[in-house]
Amino acid sequence: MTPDRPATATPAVPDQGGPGARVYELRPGGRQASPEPGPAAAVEGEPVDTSYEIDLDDPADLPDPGTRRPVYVDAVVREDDRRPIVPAALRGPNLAPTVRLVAGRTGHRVAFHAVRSPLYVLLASVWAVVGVFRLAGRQMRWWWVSEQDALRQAAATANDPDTWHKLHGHARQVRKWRGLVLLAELAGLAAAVAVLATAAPWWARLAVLGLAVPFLAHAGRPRTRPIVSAAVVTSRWRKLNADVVLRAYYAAGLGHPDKPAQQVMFGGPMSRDGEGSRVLVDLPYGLGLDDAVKARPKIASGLDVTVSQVYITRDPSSHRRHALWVADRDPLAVPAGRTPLLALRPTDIWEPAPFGVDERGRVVRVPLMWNSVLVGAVPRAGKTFSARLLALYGALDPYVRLTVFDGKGSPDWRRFGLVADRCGFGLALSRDGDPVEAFTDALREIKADVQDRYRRLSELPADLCPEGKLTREIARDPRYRMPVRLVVIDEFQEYFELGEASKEIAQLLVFLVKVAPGAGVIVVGATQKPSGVGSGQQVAQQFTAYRDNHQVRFGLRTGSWQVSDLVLGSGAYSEGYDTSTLLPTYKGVGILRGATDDTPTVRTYLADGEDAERILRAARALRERAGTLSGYAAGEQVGRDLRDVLADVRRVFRTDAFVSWQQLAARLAEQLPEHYAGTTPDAISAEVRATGVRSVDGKRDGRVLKGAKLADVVEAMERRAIAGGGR
Amino acid sequence: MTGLAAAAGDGPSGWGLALLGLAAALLWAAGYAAACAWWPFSACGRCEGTGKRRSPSGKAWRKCRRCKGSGARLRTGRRIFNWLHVTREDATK
Repeated sequence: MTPDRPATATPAVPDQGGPGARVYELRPGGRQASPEPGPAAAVEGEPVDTSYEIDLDDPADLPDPGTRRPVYVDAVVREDDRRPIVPAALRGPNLAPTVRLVAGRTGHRVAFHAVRSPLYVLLASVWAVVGVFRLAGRQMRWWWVSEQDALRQAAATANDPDTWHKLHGHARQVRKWRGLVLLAELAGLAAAVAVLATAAPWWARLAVLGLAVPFLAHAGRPRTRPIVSAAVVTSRWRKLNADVVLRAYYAAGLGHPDKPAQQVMFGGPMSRDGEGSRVLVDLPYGLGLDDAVKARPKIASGLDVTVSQVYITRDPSSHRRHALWVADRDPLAVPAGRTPLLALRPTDIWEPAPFGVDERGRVVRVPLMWNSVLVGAVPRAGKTFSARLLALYGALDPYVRLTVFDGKGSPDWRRFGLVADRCGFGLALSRDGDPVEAFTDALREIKADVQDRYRRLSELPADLCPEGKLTREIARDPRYRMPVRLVVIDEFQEYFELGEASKEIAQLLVFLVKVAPGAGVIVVGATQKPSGVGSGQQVAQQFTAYRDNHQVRFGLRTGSWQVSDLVLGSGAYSEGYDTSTLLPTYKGVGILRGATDDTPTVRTYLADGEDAERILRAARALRERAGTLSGYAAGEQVGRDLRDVLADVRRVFRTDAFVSWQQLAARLAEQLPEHYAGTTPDAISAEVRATGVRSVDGKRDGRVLKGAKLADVVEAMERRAIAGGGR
Repeated sequence: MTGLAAAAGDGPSGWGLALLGLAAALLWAAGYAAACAWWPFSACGRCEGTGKRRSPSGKAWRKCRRCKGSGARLRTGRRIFNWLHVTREDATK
């Protein structure tokens, strides 16, 4: 059946698998997953029809994007061409919105035409009268064979009596027959009219009129003026096929159709890919991917689609070849929906986090483990929401220790106090202390922890800890005290502009992003100012180092391509990724680079303040059950009522009759670090004095210091017990 | 306007009668047309369908002149149909 093919052609795949296995031919022109495959080439070398035509303006409607429930869609299964028995629009929760949509449309149409029906009746009656005469005229012409007049006159002009007589004789015969037919029609009409006029009931007459008048009106009306107008405005009909693609490229100036060396070719057949069409395009020699990327708006204009529907991606085989993907409709305008985390199930930080959907509708997951994530955009673009999405994923895993610091101090992150081990909001002093101090403390603690972890991991046996790397079992085991840590810093550029304090912070942050991910510390940072930050040269360099050492980059809309390049990593622009082209109306849409092999444009899931609160409450419940609440979150519960300072002080006193404030502060910080870690002697003195204990002078090691006496403390406790009913 | 149904004690009106007569006639015509299609020939009147007649002497058998020996006569309805058919053929050939 097939002709002999040269050795360079792809051999057919050998038959494998049991019954039901299908062998797919990989030669071009064979059976491909295209809607209307062209005929297979019978002879090698003949051009194969590798294109198909796709209509871009499909009248099928999308389901209502305003609903907040998940919408089921038909999965595109490539191996099996079975269409679902019950279409997706009628299944489960889709049925109600579909019914509503159809009812709405029908109702609109009915109302539209009902209001106009008197006008329709009037117009129809007028045109029906005209139609009667028109039909009669048509039938007369038919009877008299008037089209033959020209032939007869031509014969007469040519002085051809035989032809004339032949024609005339034939015409007479035809007229005889047609006259009989018309007589029969007349007789029938007369009979019908007689019956209707005399013996038929009134509704029969009305019915016949109702049938006859539209028919006559249709015959009588002028072509350009329909009686019934359309209730909906139909949009333009656009098609996409190989010719359109070529037209677009030639119109963009990427080649010339007539010169053979400058023709644009296709590297493969056009095929459907998700909700769009994909084709490999070979530019003429001398032009490459960067020319195509620069000409993207022109190509979009040539294809008659919006710019955001055109995607040009690199093909690794050659610079002059690239993949062109055209979406059927603007994919970024459709929101992705609410996050699946709202199911409130515990997550696993070792699995990639669901982040959003890409332009093809596939779920995009960000693997958080061993990674550092940088989110950058202009303000009000959705940075905090995106970073928060990842933090919520970490929060729902009860074995992850969260550290959340917000350089902005906005309310978006405050609820993380429910689950975070350490957190700080803003840069100003507050009831919870100095957030900058807390941040520095936290970073120091992380650094110490990371170094400790590396040491301990190297000491663990190899079967427990292969290659000295943290494993899931070790992380989840409380005995090892090495849980996965997630550090979230929103608006981290704020911490680089604090003057003196920034020096240490910058150093610690660079350590954090470079070394910590290998020890199981995930870093997530968000910024709106990815450059020009740093109060001194050293700090500025460290900021750049901090920014550039993130592995995963998520860039939402930025002001210019230069900023986009900084956020996405250098080289992104020349590969065709530019976040400054995202429209301001796209909410939560950004380019994700470095998480997976390809760089999708992601529409992130939505998790607003209320959702975040719900998720965090559930996360807190999970942690309480697992027993992994620690730090600030654990203190939160106790912190509602004041810490019993007197009891702590009494405990720390032990048997000494007098303790100075300095000693007291030191002892408290040592023995109760969670609550008294940064306490100064003045602070503890103020607190204790507030409960009624005097500050007295006492001798200690030959020096006179201010402090408290044990007897006073005990007395104060007794007084309180009597007054307050005992505690 | 009285309909086709007759009121009690009153015969059908003139129009109703005509309509009834028309319907009956059409029904008969349909039956006759079917008969013409199925049996287009009937017996020749002269020879009673045999196609023969005796000579005046009685010795010889002669063909009936009217039906030319076939004994068949084309029915009137069939004649009408044949004429229509021929007309149509001439017109549309």
